[in-house]
Amino acid sequence: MILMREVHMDLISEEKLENMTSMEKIRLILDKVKTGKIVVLESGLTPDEEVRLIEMTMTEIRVDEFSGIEIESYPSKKGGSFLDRIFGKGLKGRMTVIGPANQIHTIEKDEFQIRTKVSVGD
Amino acid sequence: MGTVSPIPHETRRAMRREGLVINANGSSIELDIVDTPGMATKIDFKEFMAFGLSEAESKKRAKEATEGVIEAIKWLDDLDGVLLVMDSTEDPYTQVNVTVIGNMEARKLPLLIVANKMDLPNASPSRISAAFPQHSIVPISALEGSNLDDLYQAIATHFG
Repeated sequence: MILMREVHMDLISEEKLENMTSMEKIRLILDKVKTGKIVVLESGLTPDEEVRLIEMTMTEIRVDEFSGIEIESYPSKKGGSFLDRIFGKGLKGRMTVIGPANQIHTIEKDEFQIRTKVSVGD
Repeated sequence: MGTVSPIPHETRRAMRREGLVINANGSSIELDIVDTPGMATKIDFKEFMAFGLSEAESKKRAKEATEGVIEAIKWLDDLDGVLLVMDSTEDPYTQVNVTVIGNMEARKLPLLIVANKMDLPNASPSRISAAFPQHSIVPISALEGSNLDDLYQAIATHFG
């Protein structure tokens, strides 16, 4: 008999993230990841949002409950219009995967792809 | 400034040295240097137990490590530039490298990558260059003290 275990994955569009504040995005991600979900963000987070996510993750780590997150994104690339770049909005976030540290493991990462392995607990 | 240990998160508090003067090729620069704890996205006390620490010691170290990461992030808000030391034998595409470099780029602050452990046979600074081609890289061996003059020169040029 083959036991099938489920992995819950949420793929969140760029449009949805665009309409959220940084804190709303971070709360949404952490709430999902803490319940064992894998989150894939189409357009990622800004560099500042990434560090705020890490900072908030640190405050929520609890022994035997939550050991943190695995997050993988690509280096930022310059994008946007000329005016965006003038006003410092030229760094575009890129696809990002985030999950519970005890479930998702990065196998390999380079500038073009992120390979991850998801473990399903008992 | 921090001590070296095989156990992760050996540096759990930032250490600061003020008024460090670097002279290189006729240029001089005075810096306040902060050696911050390493950043991480996960901290599991069981990882420390694998290095032989007791459960109590491991839990204490894990708690201090989470506080250290928060302190490192706070310092990111109060820097004029970053000297990012990478292990040139390791994969440079770690999330911490991506996040720190992304933050420096977003804030338009100077960044110099130091490719350490060049004394090891599998050192590959070219992998770091390929990963972050937009940034200057200085290969060194802190263990052997090699290429440090180039590092001092690069610091004076980048942060002067």
